[in-house]
Amino acid sequence: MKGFLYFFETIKGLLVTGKHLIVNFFFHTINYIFRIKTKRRGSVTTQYPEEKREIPPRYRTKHRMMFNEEGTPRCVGCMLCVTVCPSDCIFVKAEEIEGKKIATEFIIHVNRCAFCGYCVEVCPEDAIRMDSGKLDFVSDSQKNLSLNLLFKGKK
Amino acid sequence: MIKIKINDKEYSVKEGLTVLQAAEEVGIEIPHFCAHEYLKPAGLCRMCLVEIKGARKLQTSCTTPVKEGLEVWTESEAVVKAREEVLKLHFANHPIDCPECDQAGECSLQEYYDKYGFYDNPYIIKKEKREKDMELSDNLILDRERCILCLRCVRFTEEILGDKQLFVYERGNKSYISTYKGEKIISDYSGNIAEICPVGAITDKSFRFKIRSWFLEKRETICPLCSRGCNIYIETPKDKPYLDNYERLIRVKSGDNGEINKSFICDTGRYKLAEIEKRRNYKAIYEMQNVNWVRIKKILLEHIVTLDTIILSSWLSNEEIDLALSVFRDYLNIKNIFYWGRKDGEEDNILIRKDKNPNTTYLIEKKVKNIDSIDSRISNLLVFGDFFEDNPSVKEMIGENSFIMMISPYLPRDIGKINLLLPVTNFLEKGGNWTNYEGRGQTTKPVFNPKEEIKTEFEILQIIDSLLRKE
Amino acid sequence: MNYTLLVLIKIIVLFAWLMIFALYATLAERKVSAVIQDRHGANRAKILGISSFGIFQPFADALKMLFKEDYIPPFTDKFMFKFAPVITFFFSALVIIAIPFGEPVKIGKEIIKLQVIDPDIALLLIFALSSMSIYGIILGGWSSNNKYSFLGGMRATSQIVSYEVALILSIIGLIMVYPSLRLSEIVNYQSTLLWGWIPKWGILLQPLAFIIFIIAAIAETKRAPFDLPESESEIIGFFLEYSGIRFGVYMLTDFVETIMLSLIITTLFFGGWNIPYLFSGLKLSNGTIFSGFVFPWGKQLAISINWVSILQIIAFQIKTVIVFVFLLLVRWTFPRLRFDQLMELGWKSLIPLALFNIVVTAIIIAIV
Repeated sequence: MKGFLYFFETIKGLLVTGKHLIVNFFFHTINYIFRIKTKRRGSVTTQYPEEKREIPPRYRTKHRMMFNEEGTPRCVGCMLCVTVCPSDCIFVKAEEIEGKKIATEFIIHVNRCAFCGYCVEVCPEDAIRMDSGKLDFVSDSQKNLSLNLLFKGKK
Repeated sequence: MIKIKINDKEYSVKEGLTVLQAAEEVGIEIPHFCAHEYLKPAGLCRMCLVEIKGARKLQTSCTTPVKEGLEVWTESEAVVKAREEVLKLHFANHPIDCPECDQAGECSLQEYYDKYGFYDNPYIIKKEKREKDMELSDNLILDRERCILCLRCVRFTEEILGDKQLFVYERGNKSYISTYKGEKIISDYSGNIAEICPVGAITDKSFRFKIRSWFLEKRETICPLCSRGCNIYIETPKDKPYLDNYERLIRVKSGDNGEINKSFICDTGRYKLAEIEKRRNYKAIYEMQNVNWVRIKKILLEHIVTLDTIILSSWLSNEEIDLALSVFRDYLNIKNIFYWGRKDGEEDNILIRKDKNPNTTYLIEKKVKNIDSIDSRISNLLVFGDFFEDNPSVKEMIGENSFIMMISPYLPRDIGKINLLLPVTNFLEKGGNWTNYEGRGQTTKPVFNPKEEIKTEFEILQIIDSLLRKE
Repeated sequence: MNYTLLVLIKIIVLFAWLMIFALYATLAERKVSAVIQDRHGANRAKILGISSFGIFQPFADALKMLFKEDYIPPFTDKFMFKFAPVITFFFSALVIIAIPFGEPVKIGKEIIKLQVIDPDIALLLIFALSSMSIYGIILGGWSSNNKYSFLGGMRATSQIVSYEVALILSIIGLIMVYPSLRLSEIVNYQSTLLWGWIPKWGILLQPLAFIIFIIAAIAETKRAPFDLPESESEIIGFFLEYSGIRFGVYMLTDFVETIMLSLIITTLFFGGWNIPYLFSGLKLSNGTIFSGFVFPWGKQLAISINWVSILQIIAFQIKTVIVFVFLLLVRWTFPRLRFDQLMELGWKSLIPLALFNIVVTAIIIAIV
């Protein structure tokens, strides 16, 4: 009796996976071979480098430095981010320029960063933000993973 | 002793104190800006207001003397409300630029706002714009926006220095601190003005934008630069070197000892102490070559017995002097034992002493002769410290083919004449007892660990002692 | 035509067919599993920027396997270690020689059978050959000189020995029904009709035998849910010490075995190359020779004899692929059995059922 129960349940299981197989295969075929866009896509995954998921507005992504209108960084080197950082990944150096304290070096070691966002929250000058929307920083060396936020170029 | 009541609790305190001092003595903190332990009470900042039984209004605790049966409330509703209102007035013109202020972390305003503030800004008028970085002296910078006019600095120049170099100009909202015609302050004690400032109005130029104060750790020691032996704090980065050049002596702050230096130190001790960290030597050198300790012991054994002159340094601690005398004077019977040190300098009647070494008094007490009384020629010499430049007469007394052993933490100026040089810890890396000019003994502990493995003078003397006794 | 040359050509064509099928079987497994799990599967291997849904993936995998370090652990029996994968692959692949891919075709004057050899005992031969492949597995596990590999090998042996019994017993029912052990004759028999309208396919004549056979055969091929000898998620597996191309050969053998299984099932239970109601060379009552569809309701559809052969070959391929995909579906549906459950299923369920099937078949044959 038990054996029969098992048998019917296995058939049921086969029907479930078989249904997935046939339905998904159908949608894959019309979506990707005949290029007909349907609402149902037959898969729950995204094809990452080509299609990207929408990042929520408050999602914490790569850090960026805010600059004043004159082009100087807003950071005054108060070291609160250095103090609050739980993973100890921020290095700031500040110097006196025309009587004001301005950061001359602001380095974040991204592969040590935990993306907790404390540095953004603690910053009294709103100098650092984590809203650049960039998530893919892949590199083959540790060197490239230390971001110099004061560098205004592409990096 | 009289009995007073603070916060409905009875305490007995000394006569002649103010309420603020009495409360501090029994462990109750009353916030204050202008009151300073070694300055006369002024009652300017109104932050120390307390409720006193019988008084119609709140009274400033820093000016109210204690008397029998006084009843004080320091945390009542009216007092806390008054503190908030006083803080609002203090903040009325304060720029709140803590991110770039060097006082942040040790600022009274920050501390009290954290405790009693947290209000919304009640003022709609704009804050006064004033001079942000004015040079008050060669090592002080005045920020007039941050000033809360507690007048500690003015009172310091008036009461402690007695030369009245600072004044308050203008009145009311426009009043500001300045010297006469904006000239620079000239004083040997100007560093104290930055230290006693409770806010970031007067800051130290040498500390400006260097490191945040909460990364620093205080370590207690005494100042070795003159025979007064002022108590000081040495501040050093807590766990990480945040500075590029791995400086470990970031700044010197005055310690608090009412019997020696109150809470002030001279500028020499504050700014020149870092120089004893320079020109260090960590290698034992014999005839211009590095040697290890096995070899050194052989050399010592060979030459110790032929010594005819010992020159002790007045930078040795009491214990080291005792041990050296017992080895050389009592065991080896060497007659020619002298002491030397840095040459004498200027003197004033506040803190600075003529003798620029920490421990000369003890050497005189032990009947060691001064180097000036040297009369016979030296052939084999063991010398502690390198003070040849301060005592030029010694060089002339050294004969040809003499063997000179030197025990010094620094690299000598003319190393060619030294046959054996042993590295030792400097003043901040060793502890000991020190006797100041008036015979007062003080104990210090090591402030730093040596960067490399080197011995103290005491350990070297112990080695010499054990070598001699084995023989 | 020279007989030897013909056999050689057949072997080369069949081997090429097998290797291509096996290569794409690896892709099929990944794709089917992905589609079942609502994913996309391998689609990244590109040649000149064209990925075409992973068509080049098998070549990338093969290249990867080839260029990996061929590491032989120092504590192994070197000769057996190198030899074992070859044994498994050889005997697994050898089964294909007896499978008929279609009706004999006439080219010119020659009649060419679409199978390499057609022995009288083909049915026994294929099972004998396929059970020989266990030697490669047990030798591989044993020569690795690793207790976990050895344990995997032992598991494989006990599992295959256990399920061999049920497998052969389930076949006996078929042997009783079919007139011969010759596979071409078995397929021919399945092409005839029962009561004039039901094709005499094995699955219709022996449904219980089919179920027992397919369960036992999956166990024979060591695929999930009976993949205890490999158990990738535990560390126990007979190819634990293998790496690089040697491991690749074991992997390939896995797929070759599955392909063989689908070929055997197609031949024995799904009528081989037979398409229902499609006849070639049927002698009609009026004496003419007819090839084409003859439906039970009397309608006739004439097709030329060459097209019939081609249709039959295609039908065989399609049937094989469907059975293969079904086997993949089974592999990606069920979780792995525990070892006691495996033995219980084999000895306590399948063998009694197979015996019951033999008795019932015998009774029905006796009555009819």
